[in-house]
Amino acid sequence: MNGLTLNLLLAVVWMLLAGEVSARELLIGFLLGFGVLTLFPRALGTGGYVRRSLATLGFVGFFLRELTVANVQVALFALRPHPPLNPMLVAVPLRLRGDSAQTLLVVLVNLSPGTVALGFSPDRRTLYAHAIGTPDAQAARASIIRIEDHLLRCMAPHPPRPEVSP
Amino acid sequence: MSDFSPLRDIPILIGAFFVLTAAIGLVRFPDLYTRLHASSKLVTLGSAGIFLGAALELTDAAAFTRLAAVLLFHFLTTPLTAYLIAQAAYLRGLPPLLGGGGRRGIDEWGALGQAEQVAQADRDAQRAMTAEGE
Amino acid sequence: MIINLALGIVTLSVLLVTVRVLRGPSWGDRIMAFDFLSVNLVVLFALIAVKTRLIVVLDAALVLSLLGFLSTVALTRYLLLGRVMK
Repeated sequence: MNGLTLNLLLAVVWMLLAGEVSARELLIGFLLGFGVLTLFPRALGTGGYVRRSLATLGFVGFFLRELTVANVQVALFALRPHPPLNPMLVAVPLRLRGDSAQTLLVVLVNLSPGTVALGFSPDRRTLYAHAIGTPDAQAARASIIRIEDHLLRCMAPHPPRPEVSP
Repeated sequence: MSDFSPLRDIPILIGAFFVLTAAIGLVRFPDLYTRLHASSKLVTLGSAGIFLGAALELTDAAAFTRLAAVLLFHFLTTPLTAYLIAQAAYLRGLPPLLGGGGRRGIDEWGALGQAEQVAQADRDAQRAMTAEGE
Repeated sequence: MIINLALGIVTLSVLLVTVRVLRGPSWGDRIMAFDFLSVNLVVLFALIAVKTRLIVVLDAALVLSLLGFLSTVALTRYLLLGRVMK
């Protein structure tokens, strides 16, 4: 059974057992159900779901930190007299497939420090990005590959090994 | 400052500060591509801060859901418009200022101003992919 | 009051970006500046809703943010392909 469905089902069962229909009981049931799914991944077959949910939580924290860093960096560039922009266009080989996943990647790349996505190659396997504030092309590529690693860990059932070391 | 409430005012002040720095960046940065950095990152966090402060101030379910919808929508669309504008400008031949390495700078795409060619290659690749699928 | 201060700051940034709309120099700059203006109007609406306690203003903000995104997408498609629809 799908992990999320099972988790929601457990939450509803908890709410009914608690004898009170409210968002608070539903939330408590959801968290308790998640704990149950974490404790018995083998029996319920939800190891992938638990791993992906934890990866998503970690990704949200990582993304909020990146967003803050990006904003402070660009704000300093805007206020400084002579900002060291050093703009360049880099090509990044992609492992992420699918239109919606790549659109999400574009959004995240545009919100992370120093990079703005420019376009894809016709076979959708290379992302071109405009980078500022990075010392060389390798550093700009590494920051995009880091985001892609996080996204792959949230989506794929099993985390694939990175081909390019950041 | 008699009615200073930190939960409401700190997000609004941070948001307003980032919106103002975005405007300063838009005026001061040297070319379109660097300006898009200011417009995508700073505007997203700035508007998000103001919407968050407004949602915490208007303690009302109707206001909260609307502001949450606007906030989520802005998080998705503001970076996407930056991407679309950058792509259109590049493929229509607006040269970016490039620094770093070599006399002409680092440009690893090399499709400046080739909108027709890139669109054609895109269509060919799509057709090949659908043919492969069948 | 903080809301008035924030309204002043956002209005100042609207005035600054109007300079970018007028100066250009390329079409991309003007589209970007107009997109920024529409986002700033949404932010102004949110602040006005807080100031006047009128929740109806937030509906206008929601519609304006949708319209701003759609018009920017249409403009960039026109710039890139020379047409908006197929």
